[in-house]
Amino acid sequence: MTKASAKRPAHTAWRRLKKNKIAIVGLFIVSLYVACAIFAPYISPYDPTKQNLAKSFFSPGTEHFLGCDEFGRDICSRIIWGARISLLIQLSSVILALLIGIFLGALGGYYGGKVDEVIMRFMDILLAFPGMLLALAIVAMLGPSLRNLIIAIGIYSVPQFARITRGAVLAVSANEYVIGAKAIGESDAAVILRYVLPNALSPIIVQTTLRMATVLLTASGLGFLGLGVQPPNPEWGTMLSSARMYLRSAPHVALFPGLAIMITVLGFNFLGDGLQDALNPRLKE
Amino acid sequence: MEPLLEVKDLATYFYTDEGIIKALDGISFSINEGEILGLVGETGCGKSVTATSIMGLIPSPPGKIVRGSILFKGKDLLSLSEQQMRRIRGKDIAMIFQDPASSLNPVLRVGFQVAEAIWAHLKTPIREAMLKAVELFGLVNIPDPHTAVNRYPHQLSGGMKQRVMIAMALSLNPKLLIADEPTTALDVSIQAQILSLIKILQRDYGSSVLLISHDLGVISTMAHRVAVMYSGLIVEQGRVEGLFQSPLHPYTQGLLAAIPRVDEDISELAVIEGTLPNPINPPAGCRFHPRCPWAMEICKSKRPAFKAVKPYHEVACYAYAD
Amino acid sequence: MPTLISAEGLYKHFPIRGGIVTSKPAGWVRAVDGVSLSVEVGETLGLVGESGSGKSTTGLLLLGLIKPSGGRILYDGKSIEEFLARNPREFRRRAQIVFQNPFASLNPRMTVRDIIGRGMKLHGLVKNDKELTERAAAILAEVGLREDHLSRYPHEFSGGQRQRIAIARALALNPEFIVLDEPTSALDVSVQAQILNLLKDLQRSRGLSYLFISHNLAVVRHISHDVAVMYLGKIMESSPKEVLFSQPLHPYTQALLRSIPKISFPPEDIENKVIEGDIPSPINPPPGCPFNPRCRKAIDICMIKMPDFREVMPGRWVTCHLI
Repeated sequence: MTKASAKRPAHTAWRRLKKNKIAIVGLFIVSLYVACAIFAPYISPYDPTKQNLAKSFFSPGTEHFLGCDEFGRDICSRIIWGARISLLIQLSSVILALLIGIFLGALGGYYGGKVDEVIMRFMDILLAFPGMLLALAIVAMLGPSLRNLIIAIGIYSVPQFARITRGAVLAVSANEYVIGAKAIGESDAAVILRYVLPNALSPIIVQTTLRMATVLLTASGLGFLGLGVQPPNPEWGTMLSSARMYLRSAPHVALFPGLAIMITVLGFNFLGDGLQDALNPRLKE
Repeated sequence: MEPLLEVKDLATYFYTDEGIIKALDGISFSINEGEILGLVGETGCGKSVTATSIMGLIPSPPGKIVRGSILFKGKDLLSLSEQQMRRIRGKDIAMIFQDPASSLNPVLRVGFQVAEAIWAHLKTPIREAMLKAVELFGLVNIPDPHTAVNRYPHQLSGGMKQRVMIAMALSLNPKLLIADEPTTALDVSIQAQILSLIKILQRDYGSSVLLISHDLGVISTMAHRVAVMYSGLIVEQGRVEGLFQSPLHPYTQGLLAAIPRVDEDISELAVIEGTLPNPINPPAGCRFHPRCPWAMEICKSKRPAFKAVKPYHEVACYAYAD
Repeated sequence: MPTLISAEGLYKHFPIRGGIVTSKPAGWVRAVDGVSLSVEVGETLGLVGESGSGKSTTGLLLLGLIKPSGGRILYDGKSIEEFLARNPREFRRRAQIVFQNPFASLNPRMTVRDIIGRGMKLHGLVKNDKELTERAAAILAEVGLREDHLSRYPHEFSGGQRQRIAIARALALNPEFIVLDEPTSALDVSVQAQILNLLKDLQRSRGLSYLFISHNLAVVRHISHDVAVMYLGKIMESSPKEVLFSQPLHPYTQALLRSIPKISFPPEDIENKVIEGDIPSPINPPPGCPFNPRCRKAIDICMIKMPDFREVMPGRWVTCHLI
C-alpha cells in the first residue's frame, strides 16, 4: 500500500467533505446554530422573555436588530435562545432514538431469524403511522411538556435508526473478521460492540445528521400546534404560532423564526448529504 | 508483414489527490494478424490499463494518455473522435472482462443484448439479429441455444455468462479480441472450456487476441508470444517457448520460480524479496532494481532499453548489455 | 502419525427461506453431504474443490463455528460437541482459522497490536499490557513483520502483509490446528510464494496441523501431505499427495488435473482437455454420483446410485462405482 493513502479513514472522509462546497455551507450553518445554543446568554442582546409593551411590534432596526414581537420581546434574542431549546430537543430525542434504535437494529441484524422478524415487524408498524401523527398522538397522550415532547420525537425516530443499523450490521457481519472474532472465543456482546458496530457507524452518522433536520421540523410543528414547548419559552415553532395572527400587520414577527427553522433544517440536510458522499464515496457513482 | 496493432511508447497517467499514478510509462508492443499475445504481470503492473487504453475507455478525469500512439491497421486510435472510436469498439476490437456479470445488463434477456449489439453496428433488423444470436450461442456451446437466448443474466452460471460475452464479441467478427483475465473468476473445470473457445475463435475466425492474465499456465497454453509487465513497463517479451524455457529478466525468472506446479513437486518456492513498487513514486532507473539480485550501479539511475538478446526475444536489463 | 481431528459422515444442509407466511424452508442447500476426513498431527490435509463443493463449510464445521446437521467430529479423540460444551475456551485456543480475503479478515478499527493481542488477553495468556506488547511483537517477528507495525491499522498494509497479520492473529493463541481457507487466493504470485513458505516454516517450527482449503491444485500439491478432492458436498477422492497427483483414480480428479493449463512445451492442446458441462447446483444435485452428467466414463448405475466412499487401496479412498 502506498504511503499517501495510508491515512485513517476519518481523514479521507474529512478531505472529501472539505471539497464539497454545499456540505461546508451546511457545516457552517450547523456550527453557527450550535454556537448560538451554547453561548446564548453571552451573545443575546436582551432577555428573551422580558416584556416591554411599549415596544410591541417594533420594526427591525439598529436598536432591535430583528425587531420585537407582540409583547415587545426582542426577536433576535428569542431566536438565539430558541436555538438552545431546539438543540436540546434534537440532541436528547435523537440520542434516545439512537440508543433504542441501535440496540434493536444490532440485535435483529446480528441474530437474524425470529428475533429479527419480531423487531422489524414492530418497526414496520411504527413506520406505518405518518411520523408527525405518531408524535402528536404520543404528546397528546402524555400531555404537552418538554420531557414528553422529547420522548414522543425520540420514539418516532427509533424505526429509522433500527433499520439503518440492521442493514449496516448485516453487511459488516458478513466480514471474515467477525467469524474470526468468534473463533478466538469472543462473546456475542464483544463481537457486536468491538467488531460489528464500530464498522457500521458511517450510515448511522449520516442518518443522525439528516434526522436532526426532521426532528427540528417535527418539534417546531408540534410547537406550532401548541403541543410542543409552551410559551413564554422561546421555541421557534411556538414563536411562529403566536406570530401568525399578526402576519398582515407585522410580518417580521413570523418571518424570522420561520427563516431560522428553514435555514437550520437546510444546514443539517446539506451536511448530511455531504457526509453521505464523504463516507460512502461509491454510492455516488 | 504489417502488424494489426502496434502500440508505441504508450503512457497513461492517473491524476489523483495522492499524486500522479504512472499506470503505464511508455510501453511498446505489437500484435500480428491471427496471433495471441499474452500479457502477464502482477496486480497494479498496468496490464488492465493497457486494455482500457487501447479501447479508449480510460476514465477521464482522473486518467489521461499522456504520450505514445496506438496504431490499429495503420491508423492511430488516439487521433480518433469519440464517435469514430465507438464504431471501432465492438466491431473491430471487442473486449471480454474478468467479471461477465458486470458487463451484462441484468434486466435484459441475454439473447436480446447480443442481438442489440449486432443491430447497433450492422443495422441488421432485430429479428434477424436474434436468429444470429441463437446461432452464435450454439457456436460458443451454450446448451439449448433457443431457450438460452431468452434467459436473464442471473439465470446463467459464471461460465455461461462468459460464453454470452464471447458470443457478443464474436457477433461482429472483430479483428482483435482483448480478453482481460477472462477465466480468473471461473472455476477450474470451467476455465478450460472458455480458453478453448478463445482458441477456436482465434483459429477459425483469424482474430488476433490480446490475452491478459496473471496465470502463467494460461498464458503458456494459449499465447504465441508473451510480454511480461512490471510496474507500468514491459520488461521482457518474446515467443512463448523461449521466454518460459529460458527467461532472461530476473523478474520473469523470479516469477517462474515462485509458482507451485500442479505437474511437478517443488521442494522450496523461490521468493522475490521486497514488495511491488509504489506507482506514484516508482524507483528510478530500472524499476525492479530494489528487488533484483543482480542490481548494479547503473540500474539505479538509468532505465534500461529494450534489447534483442536472441531472435524474437527482447529484454530490458543491463545484465545483457553486451 | 496420530490423528488430531477427524470427521465421520459430516452433513450440513442449509435451509432456503420459504414463503412469507410459512416458515417451512423451500428447499435445502446440501453444502456438506457426508464428508469423512482426518488431519494428522503436524501434517497438512489439502481440501480442494470448486465453488459449491462445500470446502469452506467443512472448515467452519471442523472449528465448531457452525453446527453440523449430522455426523460427528473428533478432536484429539474427544467429540467436539462435548469439548465445546465443557470447555469452549480451551477448544477456541487450540483451533484457529485464517481466511482468504485479507481485506475482510482484519477489523479495520483495531491496531495490529490489538488484533493480535485480543485473543491472548481473552484467554488470560498474558499478565499485563507490557507482556502483551512483547508477545505480540515476538509473533509479528515470527511472521516476518516489524515491531513498529504494532501501532498501525490494517489499511496501512499490503495484501501480503495483511495475510501475515492474519496468521499472527491465529498464532497468538498458540494453537495446534489451523484451518487455512484459501489463504493465498487473493494474493499475487510472488506474494503467494512468501506466504506458502512462511506457512511451511511455521508448521515445522511449531508442529502445527493444517486443513488447507483451496481451489488451486498446484498450491495444494505444494503444501499438503494428504489431499481430499470435494465435489458438490462430497469427497470424491482422498489419498496421500504423491499418489493423488501422479495416479489420480477418480474420473473427476483425472479430468481436473488434465484441464489445468500448465507451463509445458510444446504447449498443450487445451481443446482436448475440456471438462464439458456446468457444475450442478447443490440445491438440486443430480441423482446418483454428482459427477455423472460430466463424467466421460459414466455407466448406467452412476446415474441411479450414489457410490460409497471406500478404501480401494491402503490409504486411498474413492467415491466411484468404476474403481
